Amino acid sequence: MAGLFEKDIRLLLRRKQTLVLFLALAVVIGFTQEGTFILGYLPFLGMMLTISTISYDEIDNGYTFLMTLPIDTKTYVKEKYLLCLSGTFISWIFAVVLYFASKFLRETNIVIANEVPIIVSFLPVLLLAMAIMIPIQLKFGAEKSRIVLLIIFGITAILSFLFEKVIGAERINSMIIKLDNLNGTVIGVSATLFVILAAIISYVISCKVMQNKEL
Amino acid sequence: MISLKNVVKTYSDFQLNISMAIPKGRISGLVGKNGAGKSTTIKLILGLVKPDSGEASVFGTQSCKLTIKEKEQIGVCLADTGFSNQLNILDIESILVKMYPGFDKAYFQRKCEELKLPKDKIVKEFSTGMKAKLRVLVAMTHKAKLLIMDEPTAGLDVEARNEILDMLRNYLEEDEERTILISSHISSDLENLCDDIYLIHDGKIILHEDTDVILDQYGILKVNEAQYATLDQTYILKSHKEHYGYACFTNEKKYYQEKYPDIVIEKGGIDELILMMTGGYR
Repeated sequence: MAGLFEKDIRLLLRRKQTLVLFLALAVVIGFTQEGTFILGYLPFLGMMLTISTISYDEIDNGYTFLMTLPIDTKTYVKEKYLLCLSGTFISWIFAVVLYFASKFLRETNIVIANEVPIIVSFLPVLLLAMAIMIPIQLKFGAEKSRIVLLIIFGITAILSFLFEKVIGAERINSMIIKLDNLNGTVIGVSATLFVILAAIISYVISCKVMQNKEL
Repeated sequence: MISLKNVVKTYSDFQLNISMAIPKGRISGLVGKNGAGKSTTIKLILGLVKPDSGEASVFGTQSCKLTIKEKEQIGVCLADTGFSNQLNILDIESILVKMYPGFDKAYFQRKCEELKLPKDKIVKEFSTGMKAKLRVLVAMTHKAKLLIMDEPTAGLDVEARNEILDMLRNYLEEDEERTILISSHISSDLENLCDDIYLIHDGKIILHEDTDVILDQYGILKVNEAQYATLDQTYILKSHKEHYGYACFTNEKKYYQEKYPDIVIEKGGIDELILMMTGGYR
């Protein structure tokens, strides 16, 4: 797996200009935009960047060659998840630093304990996005996966619209209020368990996708 | 070392049905026209595609179940793929160091200099010859017991081809137990390198013979209509109608030289073997 990490990190470093641009943009956004935008924006970019290494592997029948190296499909998939997790987490840390730096410049009284739930709440959302995107990218490749993601988001939007029509806006509002009243720990634990389950299912699907690939 | 037992792989427009066995220390050539099934055979051996039936194995292990340790003992050079062309030699060297415990860094660096492969350029900027040399070098530098090479010299000029063939010869000289399976449609490459030749056509092995035997005993008899009518057909493998009469391919050249001293008999190399046996002789 060390060889695969080396390959992907070197491929990412080949895009130094993009990386520098991302970081410069993050710093500008971090200091000019108020609120938590940076906490979602930067880790999402980090995640997209690491996931893009899959498309490098796909070009010029790259999978065929990679699978002749001393690795198996499970190792390959595991490495992609670890790389993506690391990329997302590192950029999340960077986003948190920028978020606080910007906040310290604007405000004098900051209670860090109050900020923690907001900051941490971005992680499960990011991990869920990762759990959806990796198997789609592996199955459909760089080009088709964009279309598949659009279709998924479209279907989600339609289902949400239908859900609102069927259930009714008032009932949904009352459900949201009930959720708001729930204990923070309960929500946190439920979200963590849900994301872990989604990640496991995603990993199993990704392994199956790679095993069934005819190279 | 490599064993394919009644391996069948069916695609919508093509079926491969093949058996072959390559023992340790052998250099075997796989020849055939484009689309004959050479690359599919190599992919089956490497476990990259799963057979519909039959068994493909390497080192006695089913190809699809090769362990990481066993894969470390195989060096692979595929015709149309390799490491990402966004990487340079230094990147590839660092990856190989971490990928293969047996990677010989000093040998890799020395060979890169000898083959004039630039360290700072990305592979995308390499010439066709440089890319081919790099693919072969990547397959050889971890001292694999088995080399599998799919068209390593395709599209190269004579000088580049000779450099690659020299690399393979030196590789074999270092350890006589090393085994190579090489596919090519450039006959002269295989005539000088391989111990035996498998000829594949329409997904089937139609001939397996030692290279020396092909070069010594195979030949083309060029006969007119009258000569053809009285010709002993016992050792004629294939005949083709030509403007002068018939071209008959034999695996007993000497028999016909002695029996019919008037008949023109040409040397039967691998090119002739492919052309005669697969119906493309002109």
